[in-house]
Amino acid sequence: MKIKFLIFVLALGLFSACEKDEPVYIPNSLISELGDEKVWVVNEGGFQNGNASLSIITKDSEAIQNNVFDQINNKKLGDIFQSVAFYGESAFLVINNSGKIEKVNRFNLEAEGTIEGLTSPRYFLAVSESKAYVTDLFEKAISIVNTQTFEITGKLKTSGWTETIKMFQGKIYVLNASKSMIYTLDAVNDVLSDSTEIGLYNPNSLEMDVDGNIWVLCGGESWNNLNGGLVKLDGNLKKLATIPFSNLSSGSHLVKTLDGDSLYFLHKGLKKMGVNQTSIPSINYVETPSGVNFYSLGIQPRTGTIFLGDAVDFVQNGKVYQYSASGILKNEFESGINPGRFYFD
Amino acid sequence: MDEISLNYGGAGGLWGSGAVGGAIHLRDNHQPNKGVSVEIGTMVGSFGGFSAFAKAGFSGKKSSHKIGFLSQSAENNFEYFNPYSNKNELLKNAQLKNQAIYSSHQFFINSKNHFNISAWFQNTNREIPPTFIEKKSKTNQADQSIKISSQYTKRFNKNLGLFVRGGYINEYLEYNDSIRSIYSYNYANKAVGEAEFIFDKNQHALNFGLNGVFADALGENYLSQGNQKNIAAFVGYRFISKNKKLNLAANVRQAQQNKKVVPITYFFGADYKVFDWLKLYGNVARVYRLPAMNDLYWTPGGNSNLLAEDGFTEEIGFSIKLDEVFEKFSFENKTTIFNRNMQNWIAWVPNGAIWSPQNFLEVWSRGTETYTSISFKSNKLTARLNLNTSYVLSTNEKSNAANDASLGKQLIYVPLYTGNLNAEVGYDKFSLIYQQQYAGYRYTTTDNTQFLLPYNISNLAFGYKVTIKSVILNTSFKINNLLNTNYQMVLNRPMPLRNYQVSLTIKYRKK
Repeated sequence: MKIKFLIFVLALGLFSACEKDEPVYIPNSLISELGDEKVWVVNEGGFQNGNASLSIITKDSEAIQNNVFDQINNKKLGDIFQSVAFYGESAFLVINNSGKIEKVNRFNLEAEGTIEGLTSPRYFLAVSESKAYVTDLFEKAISIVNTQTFEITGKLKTSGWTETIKMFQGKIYVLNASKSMIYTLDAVNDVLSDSTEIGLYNPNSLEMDVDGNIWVLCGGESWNNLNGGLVKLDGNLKKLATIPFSNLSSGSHLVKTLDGDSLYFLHKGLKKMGVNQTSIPSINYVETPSGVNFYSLGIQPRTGTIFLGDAVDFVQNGKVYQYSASGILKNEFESGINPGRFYFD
Repeated sequence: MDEISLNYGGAGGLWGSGAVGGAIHLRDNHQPNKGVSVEIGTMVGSFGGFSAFAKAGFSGKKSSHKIGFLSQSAENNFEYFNPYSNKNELLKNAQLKNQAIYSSHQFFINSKNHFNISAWFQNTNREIPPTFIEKKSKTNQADQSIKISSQYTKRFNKNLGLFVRGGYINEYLEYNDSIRSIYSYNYANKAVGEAEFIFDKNQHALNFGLNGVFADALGENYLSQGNQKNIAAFVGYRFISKNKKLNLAANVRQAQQNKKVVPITYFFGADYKVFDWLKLYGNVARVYRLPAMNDLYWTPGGNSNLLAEDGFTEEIGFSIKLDEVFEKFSFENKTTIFNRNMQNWIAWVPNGAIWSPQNFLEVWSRGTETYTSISFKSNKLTARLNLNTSYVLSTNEKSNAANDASLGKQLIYVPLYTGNLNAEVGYDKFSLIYQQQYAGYRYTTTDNTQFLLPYNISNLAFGYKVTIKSVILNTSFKINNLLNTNYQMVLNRPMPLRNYQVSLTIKYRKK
C-alpha cells in the first residue's frame, strides 16, 4: 500500500509541474520624431484579424516605426488597410474591411475624424477641401464623401468593383476591375462619362506617362483563362497598345519613373519598361533575393528610391527592401503584416 | 447516436485517409430483448436558446429499432465588449436553427447473421455574426446532409466472420453574404463500400479487407473534374499472450487514389501489463492524409497536383489503475508522450493574384497528454474528479521563404497548454457538477508576435433525479461561464458571458 501511495503522489506531481508559457512580447514604441518626407508603409494585416497597421520610414531611411497610428491615437486602425491619399495637410487612410476612412494630420498623424458606413472602400481621391470620391469592392457605387463633416453625401452607381481612382491633368480616371473598364469622372456634375473596355482583365493600377498617355496594368484572371498585361490609351481613352503577360501570369503595382518616360511594375519580380517599348522586359530590374516574393512596390518621387515589400507567408510581419534608383540594395526593414503599398510625403 | 468512439493516433489509419489525429466512428448500440423505451426532453437557455428532442426504441427477439428527432434554436443575441469600439455591443445576425432526424434498425436474422441500417438527416440554418471589426453582417449559411450506413455481419463458424459495410453521404451547403455579394453553393456525394474478413483463433486474430470510396462534388466553386476514387486493401493482426499480459497489434494499408498509388501506411502497437495496476504501452505508425476536395478542386486556386500529407507518429505511455486505495477511493492515471512528424503539410499561399494550396510545410508535433481520475464511493455519496491535461509543441520546420520568421515557431491556434477539470458530487437524488476548461496562449500570426490570451472558463450544473416505477425524471440547472470571463476562442469573435440553461428529460423504459 505504501508503494501505491507513493506512485499516487508522484503522478499527481507530474501533471502539476507545468512551466510558464507566457510569450515574449516586446511592445514597440515610437523612438524618434516622424518629421516630413516620410515613407508611409501600408500594412494590410490579415482578413478579419484587425491587425492592419501603418509603418513610417523616416526621412533618409533612418528608421522604421511600426504601428504608428495605434500608438499616436491610442486606438486600433482596423481590418485591412488598403490605401492612403493626401490632400493639403491631411492624409486619408482607407480601411477596407472596417468600411471606414481615418482622416489624420499629415505631419503628426493625429486622428482628425472618421468617415464610417462604407461597404468595402478601396481608393480615395479628394477633389476639394471638403469633397472626395471613394471606390468600392462590393458596393457597386462610388461614394461621395464630405471630408469636413465626415458624412457620405452621395453615391455614383457603377456596375461592380471599382478600383484605382486618380487625377491626371485635371481629369479623373477610374478603373472597374470586375468589368475591365476605365471611366472618366466629371467632378462638377458627379457623373461617370466616357468608358472604354480595357481588353485585358482585372485592372489594378493606373499611371500617366510623359506623353500624356494612360497606362493600365491588369492582373489577369488565370482561373478563368483571362489574360493580364499592360494597356496604353490616350487621354481620351482611345486604345493605343496592348501588351499581354504570357502564360496567364499576373502583375500589379504600376508606377512611373520621375520623368515619366519609363514604368515600373511587379511581374515575376520588378520590371522596368520604357513607354515606347512594345513587349514586357524579360529581365528583372533588380535581382529578386532568393526565397522572396515581392508583394508591393513604391517609388519615392523625390529621390527615385525603390521600395519593395515581402509579405512572406501573409500571416507574419513583412519585410521592406529599399533600393537606390539605380537598383542597389540599401536597406532592409521589418514592417507590419502584409506591406501592400507605399506612399510618400 | 448511442456511441461515439475515438481511435487515437495512428491506429485510425486503418479506417482510411484523414485519420491522422484519430478517426471518429458513429454507431448505434443495438441489443435484442431490451423492450420499449421512450425519452423526451427540452431545454431552455439564455439568449433565446431552446431545444427539444424525442426518441423511442423497441427491441425484440428478431430486431431492434430506434428513431429520434431533435430540434434546436438560439438567437445568440448576447452582449459583449468590443475592444475596437471600446463599447458594449449586442451580437446580431447570430441565429441558429437546427433539426435532425435519425432512424436506426438492426435485424438479428439468426445467431450468426446480423444486418443493420441507419439513416440521419440534418438541416441547419445559421447566421454568421459580425466580428469585432465589422459593423454588421448579413451572412448566412444553410447546410443539409443525409447519411446512410449499413453493415451485414456473418459468422461462418467459431473462427471466421465477415463484415460487409456500405455508406452514402449527400451534403449540400449554401453560403450567402449579401453585403459582399457572395453567393455560393455546392453539393457533395460520397459512397463507401467495405468488405472485411476476421479470423480469430486462441491468441491470434487476423483481419483483412478492401475499402472503396467514391466521391464527387458539384458547385460553382468546383471545377468539373471534382471527383475522387480511392481504393484500399488492408490487413491486420493481433496477438494476446496466454497470461493475457502482452497485447500486440499490427496493420498495413495500401491505397490508390484516382489510380495513383499512395504510400503504404502501417501501425504497430504493443501493451504490457507489468503489474495488475500498471500497464505500459507504445506504438508507431506511418500516416497520411489525402488532400480534401476543396484543396484539389476549389475555384479559384484548387491544386489538383497536391500530394498527400504524410509522416510518422510514435507514442509511449503508461496507465495506472488503483482501485480502493484507501478503502473507498480509486485512482486512475494515463500518461502519453507522443511525437509526430508530418511532411507535405498543406497550406494555402498566394500564387499570383489568387491563393492556392501547396505542399508547403513540415510540421513537428510532440508533447504529453494525461488523464487522471480520483473517485470516492460510499453508500449514498459519490464523488469524482477528472483532469485532462495536454502539452503540445507543434512547430513549423521548413520554409521556402527567405524572411520566414515562422521557422521553429508554434503553429497558429495550437495552444501549448490545455486542460479540463470535471468535479462531480452526487448524493442520493442530487448531483453537482463543476467543470473548468483552460487553454493557454494561442498565436494568431505565424511568427508568434500576436496571440490570444489564455482563458479559464468554468461551468456549474445542479441536477435532481426522480424515479417513479419505470419513469425517470431528470432536471438540471446549468450556469455557463460562471465567473463571467471575457475571452476569445477565434480572434475577434465574441463569446457569451455568464448564461443559464434549464432542462428536463423524462425517460420511460419497459422490458
